[in-house]
Amino acid sequence: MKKKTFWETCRPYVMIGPAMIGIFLFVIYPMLYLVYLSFFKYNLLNSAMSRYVGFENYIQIFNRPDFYKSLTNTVIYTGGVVVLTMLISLFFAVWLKKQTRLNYIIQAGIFTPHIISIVSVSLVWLWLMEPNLGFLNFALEKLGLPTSQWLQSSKTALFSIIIVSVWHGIGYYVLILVAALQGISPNIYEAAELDNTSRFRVFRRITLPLISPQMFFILIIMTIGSFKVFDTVRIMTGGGPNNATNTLVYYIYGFRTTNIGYAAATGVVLMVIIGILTFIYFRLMSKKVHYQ
Amino acid sequence: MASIEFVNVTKEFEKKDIIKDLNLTIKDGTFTVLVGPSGCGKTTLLRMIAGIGPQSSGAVLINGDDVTAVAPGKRGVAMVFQNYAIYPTMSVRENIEFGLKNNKVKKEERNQLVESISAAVGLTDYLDRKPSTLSGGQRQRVALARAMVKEPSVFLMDEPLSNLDAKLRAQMRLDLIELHKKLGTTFVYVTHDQVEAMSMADTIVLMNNGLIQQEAAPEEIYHEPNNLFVAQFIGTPPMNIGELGVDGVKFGFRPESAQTSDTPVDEYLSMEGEIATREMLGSETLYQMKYKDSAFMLKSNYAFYKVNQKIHIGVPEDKIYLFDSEGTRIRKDHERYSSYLEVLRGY
Amino acid sequence: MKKHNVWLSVDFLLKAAILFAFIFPFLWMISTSLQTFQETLSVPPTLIPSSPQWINFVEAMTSGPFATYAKNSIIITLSIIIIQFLVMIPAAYAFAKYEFFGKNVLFALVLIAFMMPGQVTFIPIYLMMADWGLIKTLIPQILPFMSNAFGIFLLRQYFMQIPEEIIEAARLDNASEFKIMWKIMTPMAKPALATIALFSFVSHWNDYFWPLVMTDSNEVRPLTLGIAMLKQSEGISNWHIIMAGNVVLVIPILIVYLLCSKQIVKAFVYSGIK
Repeated sequence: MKKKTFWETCRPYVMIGPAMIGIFLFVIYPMLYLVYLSFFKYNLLNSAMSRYVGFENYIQIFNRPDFYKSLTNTVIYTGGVVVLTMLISLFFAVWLKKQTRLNYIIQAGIFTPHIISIVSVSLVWLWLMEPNLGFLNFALEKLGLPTSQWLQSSKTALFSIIIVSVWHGIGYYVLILVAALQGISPNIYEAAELDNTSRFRVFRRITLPLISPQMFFILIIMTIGSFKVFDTVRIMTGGGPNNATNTLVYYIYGFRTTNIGYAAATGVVLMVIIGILTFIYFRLMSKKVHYQ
Repeated sequence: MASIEFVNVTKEFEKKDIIKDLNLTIKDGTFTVLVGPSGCGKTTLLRMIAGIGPQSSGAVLINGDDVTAVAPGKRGVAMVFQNYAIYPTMSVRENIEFGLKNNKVKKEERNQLVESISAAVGLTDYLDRKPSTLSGGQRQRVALARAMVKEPSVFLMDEPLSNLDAKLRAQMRLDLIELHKKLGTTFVYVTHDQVEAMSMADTIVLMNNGLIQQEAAPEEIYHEPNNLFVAQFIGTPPMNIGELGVDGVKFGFRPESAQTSDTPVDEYLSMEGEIATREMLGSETLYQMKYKDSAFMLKSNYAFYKVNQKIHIGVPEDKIYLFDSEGTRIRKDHERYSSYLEVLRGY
Repeated sequence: MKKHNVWLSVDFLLKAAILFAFIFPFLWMISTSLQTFQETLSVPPTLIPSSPQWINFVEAMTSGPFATYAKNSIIITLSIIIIQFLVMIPAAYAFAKYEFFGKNVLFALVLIAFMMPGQVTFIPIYLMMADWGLIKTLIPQILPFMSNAFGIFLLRQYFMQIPEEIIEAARLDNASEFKIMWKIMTPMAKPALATIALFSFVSHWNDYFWPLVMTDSNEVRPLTLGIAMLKQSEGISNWHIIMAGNVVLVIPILIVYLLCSKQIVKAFVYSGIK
């Protein structure tokens, strides 16, 4: 029996060492520290003055309407972005799946916003959605359609942000779905044709099941991504008007200097939500969403 | 030059013994072929020699030295892999000289070796190409050149021809035999294809389920199989086997051992059956003959029997093999050999 | 046949419209950046400026320390990519090709790091960085990203697909494990590495949240923050200046995209399919 030498036993640990140190220092430890902080009334100027308060921060969270408001906003935002992106990207992907030059250009075009900073995207749309001088209302008026106050009305602000987010992200998901569709063997479609299957049935019984792993990937990545929405809110509305677009992360951000313990407790809530979503993701992933 | 010895080697994988207490000696300078069905442990043995899949217990000796603690690159062995395992990001030249560089061979010597080896395998014009631009046969030769250039004392080959088309494979078989003759080093060759084993080997080691079934020269393994497994593994089509009906004993004969005729044949074992299928192979024709509940394959120079035709066959006594209920060969010196053979008289 | 042609042109027009919807905002941004203040106020909106106001760019770039912002952006992004590669390649290789005690638990930590966003951990990390007295440096914007969990994950997948025989062949060629990793495996993983580098570049060059919460002085702020701050420094109605700054932020990445959109698209698809 060949015994591993000391170096051979240590080598893997040395190799993953730096990565694990980074992960421990900047992910695992901060997560634990966050939980610890959430039990304190933290004093930023003099941490020795911090006071242990038990679950007080959490009790406060669940009794504050502005927390519920931001949580509801985040859920609505997430639902809106996920549903719209899934439907539209699926539609685009089926439409653009044939490998032609035109389709490729369209895909590349739709994808462009994805690699642009959300700062730029937010600023451009802020300007486009300007109610009096912006191009969007001008175009709607010209087309004889009703205009909107967009970001400046609490009724439409959240929806406006959803539009911008979908516009920003959709190209990536179209690319993935197109690749998935192109990966399906044409023989399957030919077989279905020989079986005289209707187009709708082919889509529902063959196409959808075969791209379900990618659909699921998109669903989870987007849900988790949407829960941490911040940039658009911060640049376009600052949470307003009247808290209509205040989201969870923006809410935490608001307390990050004034009440660290409370912000940490809210952070823990976000961490739990993301943890649950991740858990579901890996559970289902191991079962492979695929019906063959 | 090197001999290889396995002493009581065992290989466990996931708590299961793939090889248990195996002993084998491969003589210096031989062309030894390890053959057997997939999963029989032949590749495992090869990897033990190379040191890339060490044994769980026991020892592997090269030239009498236990190499268990010796790193693969320091054993003086070279290996050609089934999928060639060519470094895809390196040019043909870099592939061939990679081992030399690691062994700190000087540049002039390196260049000279690369030139001569690549000329020998016909790769001179391709030295600066990337492997992805080469054909399957050329890649195979890169793998071979990479092994040859190190001038190893043992050549290990793991099904090196299985990814080539039939014509090229036949050519490469000849090339390898010639290479072995020229180099005179020990070749250990793994294959599941008994034709390759028969055509190239000095010694065949036939394995099944991690056990050596027989270790012998091709002629011996063909004509004097140790057991039923060997008899049925070697030969195309394999040996015909029938139930004797006594003590679970089986008898067998090779398809080409049976004389065929329209009229009864006067031989030790004779029977009359009906042709079920006919395969014309060129110089010979293969027939499947139905007899009672069994079917026997026959190889004949006569091509004109028709399907459903009744024919007679005869097998001489010295071409009949007997196996006991365990599958072990019953040889002439067995006390009941003649009494079993007697049963066939009136079969 | 005629009907077929009609369908094709309808299809083409619709596709053109879609493309327009995704390109127009950028054109509008460029147009605005070249307009005068009066032109931005006009109804109907000015589509093509009467004479390009290049001065807008000068004004945008002199409204703050933009040379510093740009320098910071470059230093931060490049440092992150280099450090990530040095950390990631050995880790991914070990996770892919070695067996060791605790491997699964440790890899689970990588997956947690992959899923846990900075939006959860930023408060503790800020406090740590403040404790260490690093807030006035670029380190808080670089070091937390040293371990790219996504990269480790993707690269490990890629390494696992490389046949074991290649490594074994190299061992038989007497190559050290270190050499196998750098000279054989790493070059073979080029497509994965390109994808990871691109992802890293795009996400850190464009990042807004992290620099926002980690910085409190202009000396360490990157370009994204500088541009976003134009909104405050120039006043909300100076759209021509804001858009000029925006063009400066967008154009470099847009040029890169136009030049190698094929590779970029491929890289992004690769990340999603694997």
